Amino acid sequence: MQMRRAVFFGTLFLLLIPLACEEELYYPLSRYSSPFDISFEVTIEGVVDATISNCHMKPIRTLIDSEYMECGVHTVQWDLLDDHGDYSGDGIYEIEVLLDGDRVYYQVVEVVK
Amino acid sequence: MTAISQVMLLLALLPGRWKIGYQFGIGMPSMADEEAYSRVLQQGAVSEYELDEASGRLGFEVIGDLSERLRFKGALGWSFYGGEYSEGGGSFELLFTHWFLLGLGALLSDSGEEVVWVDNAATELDALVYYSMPGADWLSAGGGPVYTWVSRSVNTPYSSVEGSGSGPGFHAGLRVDQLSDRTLGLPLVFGGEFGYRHQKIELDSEETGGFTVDYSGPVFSLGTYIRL
Repeated sequence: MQMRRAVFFGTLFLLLIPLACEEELYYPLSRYSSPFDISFEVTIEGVVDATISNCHMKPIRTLIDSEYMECGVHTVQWDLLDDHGDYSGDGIYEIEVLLDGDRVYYQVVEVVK
Repeated sequence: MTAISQVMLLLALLPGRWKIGYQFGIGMPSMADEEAYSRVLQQGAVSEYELDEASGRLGFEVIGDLSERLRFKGALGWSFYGGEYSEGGGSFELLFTHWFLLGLGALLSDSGEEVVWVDNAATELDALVYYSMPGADWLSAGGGPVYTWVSRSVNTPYSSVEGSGSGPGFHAGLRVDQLSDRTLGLPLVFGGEFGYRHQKIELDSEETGGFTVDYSGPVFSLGTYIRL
């Protein structure tokens, strides 16, 4: 009887270990469902470009088009729309801000409405 | 009558020796844009994202002698290539999965949970002509046009975006074919091929325009056939 109980609880213990070890999924992509701010620092005055590209690497939105900016922290908002004013759609997007052609901000995010 | 049996009947009525079968192979595709996108993911969010080392290929082939020296190959095939980043499955959970399955867990494709994965799939139609070498009929060299339909999807647990396109290409290769009708008493014959494919297809919708799915590169395949 004791042997049977030991086998039962031993098996139950072994079955429960994987559940106890279950880790929460680490999700590396920042997810947005509404407009969000993109902040970047301009360390020397210059011309800034900010674009959003889709997962086929096609630019779909120009947030800043060759605008001269002074030193400091600047913020621009992406309203999740493309250049035609349409919702860009769920998916992965690349955000890139260039200062005189050099990258000053870069992030890949996921948009899910 | 099924389509396959109709094709087999047609081939049996054609002059010359014909064989039909399937092939498995691998390719080393160029995929320059896919590599660029893998760098986007790696730099922007998912540093562990990895592309496949090679593309997988499989398909059905019909091979026959058009004349004493000319050999024809028609093929309907599929190629697969992608990349992914999976999370988890490397700890106790995986260890116990293997333990409970008596090691068979190793046969499961991925023990982790997929976070980001890109799938490229191609459907290919080949019409190729080969010239068999005098004095070595088992060896032939040739090539011909290929038409390819591709699709590319970028997926996460929360979203999936797909693009597609199609276009022509070409294949050139060196084939080795078994000349006998049977192997070890079985009505099976074998063949293999090493070649190069030019298969550069641009995705064609407004959102995907400019992205090229490039399966161009060396390919290697082995086939099993039955003679008709």
